[in-house]
Amino acid sequence: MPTEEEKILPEETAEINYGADAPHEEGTDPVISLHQIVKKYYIGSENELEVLHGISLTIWPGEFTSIVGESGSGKSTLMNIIGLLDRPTSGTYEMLGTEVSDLKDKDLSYIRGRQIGFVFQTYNLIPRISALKNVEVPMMYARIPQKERTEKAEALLEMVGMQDRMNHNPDELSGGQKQRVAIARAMANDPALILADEPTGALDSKTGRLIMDLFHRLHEENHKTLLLITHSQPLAEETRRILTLSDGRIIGERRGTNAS
Amino acid sequence: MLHENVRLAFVSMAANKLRTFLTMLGIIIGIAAVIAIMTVGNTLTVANQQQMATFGVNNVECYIGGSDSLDYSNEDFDWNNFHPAFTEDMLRKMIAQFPEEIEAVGISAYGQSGKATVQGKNQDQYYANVSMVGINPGYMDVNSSSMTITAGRNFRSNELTADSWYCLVDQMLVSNLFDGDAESAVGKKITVSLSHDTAYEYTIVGVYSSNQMQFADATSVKDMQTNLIVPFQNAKAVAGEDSQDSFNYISDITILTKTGTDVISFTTQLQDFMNSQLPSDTLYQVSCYNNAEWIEESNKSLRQMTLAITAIGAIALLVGGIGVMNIMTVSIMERTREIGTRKALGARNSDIRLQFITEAILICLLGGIIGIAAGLLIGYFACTKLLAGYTVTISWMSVWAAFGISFAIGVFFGFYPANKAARMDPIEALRYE
Repeated sequence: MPTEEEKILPEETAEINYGADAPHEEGTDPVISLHQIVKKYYIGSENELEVLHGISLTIWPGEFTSIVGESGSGKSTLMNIIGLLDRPTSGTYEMLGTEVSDLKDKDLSYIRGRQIGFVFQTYNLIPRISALKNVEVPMMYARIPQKERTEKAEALLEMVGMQDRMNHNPDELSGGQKQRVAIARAMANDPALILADEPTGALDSKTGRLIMDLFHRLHEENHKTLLLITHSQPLAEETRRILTLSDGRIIGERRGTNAS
Repeated sequence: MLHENVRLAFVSMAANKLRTFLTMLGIIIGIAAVIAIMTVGNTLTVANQQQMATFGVNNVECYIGGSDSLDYSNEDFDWNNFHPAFTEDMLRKMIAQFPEEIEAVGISAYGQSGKATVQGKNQDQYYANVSMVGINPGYMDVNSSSMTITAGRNFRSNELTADSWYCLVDQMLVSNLFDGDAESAVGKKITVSLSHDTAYEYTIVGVYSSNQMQFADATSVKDMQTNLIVPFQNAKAVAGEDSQDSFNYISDITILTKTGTDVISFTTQLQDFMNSQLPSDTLYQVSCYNNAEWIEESNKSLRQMTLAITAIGAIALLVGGIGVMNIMTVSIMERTREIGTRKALGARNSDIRLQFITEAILICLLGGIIGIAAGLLIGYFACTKLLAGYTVTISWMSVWAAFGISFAIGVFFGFYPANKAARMDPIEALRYE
C-alpha cells in the first residue's frame, strides 16, 4: 500500500473537494471544478436510482489525472458528466470558471466541442473519410475555416507520428494508428481537457504502451491537461493523481507510483 | 460546413452505390414520366400552333351537303341529280348579312390533272405533275396564311375570264421546270397536257409557295403533284364536258374573317344564317366550322393526357419520396455510433440535421437529373420515331420544375430521418453496437 494514500470513510468523502487545494499557477481557474455532483435516474418513480452520491473534485491545468473504478462504480456516469454529454441532477460544475451544468443543449455542444477532447476505447473514427478529414471534424463544428483546419490537422497528425498516413481511411489503419489519429483529433480545438476513456482497452500491450507514452509526451512536452478513466490500476499508477471511485463516491486520492 | 456536408453526402452515396440507385429509382421514374409527357405535349402544342398559323386561324369553312334526315340507303332516290351547292344568291345574301365579319370569300374547284412542260426543254427531264384548280378573286386572300406569292403577282380583275390563259404556279413546279429560279419563271409559258389528250398554253403570272404538304402517290419529290392555279372560268372551260359538276356545284367555301372577329361565335351565326336561307322542305344542310375550335379540341385532349400521365408521375414521386425516407432512416440507424461521436466532438442537433437533409436532397436531386435526362430522351424518341417526325421542343419550364420538385421531395421526405438523427442522445448513440 502506498504510504501517502489517505483512507477515508465513505460518509466523510462528501465533504472533500479532491484537488481543490492542489498547487497551481497563481490566478488561473481550474479546468474543471465539480462540487457535490449527484446523478439520479428515473427520478420520481419507484425505480429511482442514485448513481453518484456527491462528487467534488478539481482539476488544474497541466495535470495528468486518472479516475479508477470497477464496473458499476459510476465511472461512466461521471465521465459523461465531466465530458458534458450529460447533466447532473444536482451540484455545480464549473469549467474554466464558468458554470456549465445548466447550459442549453446548443451551448453544451459548443463548449463540449471546444473544450473537451474525447479519446474512446473503440476509437470512434468516422469511416470512409481520411485520417486528415477525421482530425478536422471538431474544427468544422467549431466553424474554423477550411484552410486553417487542414493546416492544423496536418500539424497534429505529425505530432502523433501519423503524417505518412494522413490520407488513409480508418479501415486501412491498425488499432494503434487509429488511436493516434483519435488523439490528434482530440487536440484539434486546443481543448482545456483531454478525456480518455480506456484508451488502451482494445490494444495489445505493446501498442498500448506506445499510446501511453504518447499521452505522457503530450503531458510533459505540450503541457496538456489529461484525465484518464480506467479500471486498470497499473495504468492509473502512471498518472500523477489517482482518484478512486467506488459505489458512486470518491473514496480516495493518491499519487501514482509510476508517475514521472 | 455546407461544402463539407455535400462531400460527406457523396461519400455516403458512393459507399453503397446499388442501394443509392434503388433509392433514387422512384424519383427517376416519376420525373422521367413527367418530363417525357411534358416534352411530347409541348412539341405537339407548338406544332399545333404552327399548323394553326398555316390553316388560318381567322378562317371559317362552310360546307353544304345532304341533310341528316336523308336516307342514304334509299335506292329509289334520284342520286344522280342530287347536287348540294351554294347558290350565288345565298353567297350574296351572306356577304350582305355579315359586313363586319367577312373580309373575303374564297372559292375553288378542282379540274383535271395533267403534266406541265416547257417548249424547247427535254420533256423527260423537265416536267411537273399538276392539278388544275380554278379560283375566284378572294381565294388568295383567304389562304394568305398558308400561301404567299413569292414572285410575280396575283391575277388582276380583268384576268378572270374563261379566255384568260394566265396561271399561278407552285415553287415546286419552278424547281422542276425552271431550275428553281422563281423570278425568271414569271412571264414564261408552259404547256399543260390534260388527261383527254388536249394541251393548253399558259403564261406564268406569279409563283406561290405553300406550307401545306401535298401528299400524293408520288414516287419522289419531283413527281409530287402541285396545284396549277387558274381563273375559275378558265378551269371550267378546259375541264371538259364530263367534269363540269365540280364547277357548277360549289359545295365548299372558305371565309376570311376580319381581324378582331370572334371566330367561334361567328361560325355558329353563319351556320344558322345559311340554314335559314334554305327552303323548309330542303334536303340540304350547311355545316360551318373553324380551325380554332379544332385546334382547341386537339389541345384539350392533349392537356388531358398530359394531366393523366403527370398524375401517374406524381404518384411515382410520392412512392420514391417514401423510399428515400425509409432508406435514410435505415442508413441513419446504421450510423448511430457516428452520430454519437460527432455530437461528442461538438456537433449541435442542427448540424446533424443539416448533414442528413443534405444527403437526402442530394440523392433526390441526382435522381431528378437522371430522370430529366431519361425523360428528355424518351420524349425525343416518342416525338421523332413514334409520332410523325416532329421537331422536338423542350418545355424548359417543366425541367426547372422537375429540379424544384426533386429538391422539395428531398427536404420533405428527408426531414423525418434527419430529425431523428439530430435528436439522438449522444450517450446512447455511443453505446450502440
